Amino acid sequence: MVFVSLPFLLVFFPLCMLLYFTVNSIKAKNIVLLIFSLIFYSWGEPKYILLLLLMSFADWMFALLMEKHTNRKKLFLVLACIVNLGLIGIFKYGVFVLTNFNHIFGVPSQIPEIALPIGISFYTFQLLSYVVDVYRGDVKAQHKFHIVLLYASLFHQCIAGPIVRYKDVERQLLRRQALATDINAGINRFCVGLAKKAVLSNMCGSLVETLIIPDNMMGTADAVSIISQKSVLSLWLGMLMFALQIYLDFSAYSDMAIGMGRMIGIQYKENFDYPYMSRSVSEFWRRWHISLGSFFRDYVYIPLGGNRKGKTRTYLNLFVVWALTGLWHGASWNYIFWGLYFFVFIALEKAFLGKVLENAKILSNIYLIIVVYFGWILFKFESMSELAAVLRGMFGLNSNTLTSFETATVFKNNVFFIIVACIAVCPIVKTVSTRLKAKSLDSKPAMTVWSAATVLSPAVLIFISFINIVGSSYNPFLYFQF
Amino acid sequence: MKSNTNKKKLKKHIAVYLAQFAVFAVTLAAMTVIGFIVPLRPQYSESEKRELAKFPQFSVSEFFSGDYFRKIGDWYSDTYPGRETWVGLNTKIKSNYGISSEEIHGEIIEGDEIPDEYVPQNESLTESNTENTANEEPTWESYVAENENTQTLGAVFVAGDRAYEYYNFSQSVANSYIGTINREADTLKDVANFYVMIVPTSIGITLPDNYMATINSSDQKKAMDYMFSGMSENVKQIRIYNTLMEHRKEYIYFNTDHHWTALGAYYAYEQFADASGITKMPLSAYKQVEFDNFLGSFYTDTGKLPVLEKNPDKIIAYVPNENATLVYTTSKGEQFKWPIINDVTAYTSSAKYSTFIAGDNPFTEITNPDINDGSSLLVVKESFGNAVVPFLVENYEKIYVIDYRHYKGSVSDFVKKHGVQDVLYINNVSATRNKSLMEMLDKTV
Repeated sequence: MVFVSLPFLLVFFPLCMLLYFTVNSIKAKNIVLLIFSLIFYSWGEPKYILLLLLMSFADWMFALLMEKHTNRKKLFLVLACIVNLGLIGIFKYGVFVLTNFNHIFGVPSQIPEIALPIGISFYTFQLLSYVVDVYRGDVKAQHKFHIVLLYASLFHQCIAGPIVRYKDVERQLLRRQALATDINAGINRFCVGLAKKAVLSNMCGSLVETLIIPDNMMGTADAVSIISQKSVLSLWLGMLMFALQIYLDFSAYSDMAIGMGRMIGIQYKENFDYPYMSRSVSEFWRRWHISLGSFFRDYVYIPLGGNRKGKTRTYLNLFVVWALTGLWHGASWNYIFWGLYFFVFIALEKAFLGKVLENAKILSNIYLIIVVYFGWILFKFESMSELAAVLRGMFGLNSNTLTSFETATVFKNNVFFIIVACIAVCPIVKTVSTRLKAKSLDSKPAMTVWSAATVLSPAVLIFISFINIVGSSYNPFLYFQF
Repeated sequence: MKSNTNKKKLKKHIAVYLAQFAVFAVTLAAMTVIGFIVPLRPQYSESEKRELAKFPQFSVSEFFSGDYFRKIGDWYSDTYPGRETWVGLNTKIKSNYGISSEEIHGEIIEGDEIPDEYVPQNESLTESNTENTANEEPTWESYVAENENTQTLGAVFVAGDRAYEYYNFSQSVANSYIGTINREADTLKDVANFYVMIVPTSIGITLPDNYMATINSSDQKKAMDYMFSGMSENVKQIRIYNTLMEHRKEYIYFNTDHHWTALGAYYAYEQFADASGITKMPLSAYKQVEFDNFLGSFYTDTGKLPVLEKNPDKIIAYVPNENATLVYTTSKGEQFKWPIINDVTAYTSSAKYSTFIAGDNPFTEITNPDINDGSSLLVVKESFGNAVVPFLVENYEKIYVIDYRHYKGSVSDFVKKHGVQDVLYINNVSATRNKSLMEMLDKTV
């Protein structure tokens, strides 16, 4: 199931909340959450629920074994890693590895088709962090299987993050309370995320399709010719829309997860902190998908020795971390290159660029935006020929024109929307609403505005999102019938 | 003192939060409750012209593959009560996303460069198509079903309150069309007079000049010249582009639909009459009827665009000899007697083009009892032909109409069997760039 759909919004979620607040004990509440989470996951993917159950069971068991046999802790950790990484390796990277193997050695001739189990990248990492933390003694092993399962499968974050650490939520899984202010903050956050996805991100996505290439044409024989026909400005604007789309989309899921957690008294850590406001690539990665960055920092970079083993080793460690970060995003070379692309800039920043950037206020922000912008081109196109076509086209090398009537028209048709989407990636709304709330204590007009906005905004956002969701299912069937 | 008033204000904050919660909960609950009122759910969408998703039948295999639940979700979303209202509202909201004196809906595909003249080549869509490597000859039913999805409109351009369909010339499809026509014409050489009329679409005729120069839509005159240049000497060409251009200020194309009006079709009829030597009937010879409030394919395709809604079309139709009778045959083989111009006043606003010759049917036969000279005409067409046929009723004892998208037999067999004297192909230029349509046309040779 996905958040931005009518069955989730209008049936699953209200029903879950209703039952959750009807039952009293924390145990019953957890059971409600667990049952709903398992239904959520199974809805479209009933077979792979077994994988989730199996992995949770294995890690629950290994953590207990570590606790029981402290002298053989390492063995169990290794086993846990083999199970977790083995399963994600097969299900997420199996096809990729075999395809490359086939390219080099010519075998195997038949590559099996393996569908990617939804959310596997997120819940595998969550469970990994759990066993490693138990191993390190940062947290005690959880004896109750259903709590470990709830941690891994909780529908808030199971399929699209953030990657929650067990030690961060352990206490709240066992005992929690949602105050009225939590519920309000949760509702606000959830509705903001919902609208970000349903209203802003989806529209950005459809503009990307118009300005660059429809998604269903990517990877086809016609893809390069479609891209090559697009005007220079069409491609630049299209990539800008993609940059907006990917942030709005991803951060929207985190917003909704954080919001839903908050409503029941679970505090997830922030996952995005207006990353496009950063002034260096290192800073960007501290503000973009924070839970992933910190996972690789704590479970790969630092165990490898971080920056404590000399310069060469530091750069090597960074290289490994960024190749893995790239690979995490998808089983294709372009993601690895995308990760290594960031490695190059982070290495440069570590060497000398960082100091330069600190002194260049606006320029450093422009630098970051350009780097990230071109990074997204690498990220979007799995096919190298399409990637090349876009890059050539952006500099007019496809014998394409600077602009076209269509590009201008699409831009004009959406100019207000584009402005709103740009505002949404900046902290402007947040700053204004915080100030307004503070000011409402002294000023009556401010109080009126703030009250009206506060009372209406969640309902308006959810309603507009609803209309967008219904509207996007509009699919006229034109058989040249009449 | 100050801290006291602040406390009061903070209390007000709490009241505001309570109100927020209440408004949110009521909104969500209302939407949830409405969703559960199953009788309110629509089953068919008039503007989308499709059956909405149905609640799935339970099956063990679909249960385990996840399809069962996915289909429940599809059903839930697709048939949510008030669908048409929400869709319209969504488009209204989106029309405020920018400055929209002109708008583009859908993906633009750039056309191939149009050569000046056709160079003969051994090309046929079905043969040269390497993607289509299926060994089995598809059955007609699967053939239709597979191709349905590809028959959507191209990108739609909206200028002011009128819409136009983008046209992208495709050389390979045009060549296939030329090949199909030539094979048919050569087969019917010495059997019947063979006429071909290619109908431009509105973007090639009535689009205002300032857009004509800049818009990224292929040149229709050039495209039609190309196609005619490849046609065999057995084809009598009805080139109507210039004629329609002379009348471009008149109401010859709809604003909200991709078709031409009966008036546009009449000018084409005049030219056919000149070419074939039949008596050209004046417009006044026909009884004129009008149907208001037609909102056609452009309106539905753009998700009910408000600017188009404010500019609905009026269908003006011309009724021929009232003694003439029309019988159409459905794809199931059933036959119905129907008016040549049907009263569509009560039809939904998107379905009114079907006033002409009962809409699109595999086969239609019109008999004019006032003519007894044994004259007969076969029209092979897609929907643009519907508007032309009524004018021809006054000229022939028998008119047969074949819609090649639905007809299963062979055109030449039909012509020979019924001793048809004149054969007229009416194809709109947008169909000649549509691979799946041209494959269907090819199958009727």
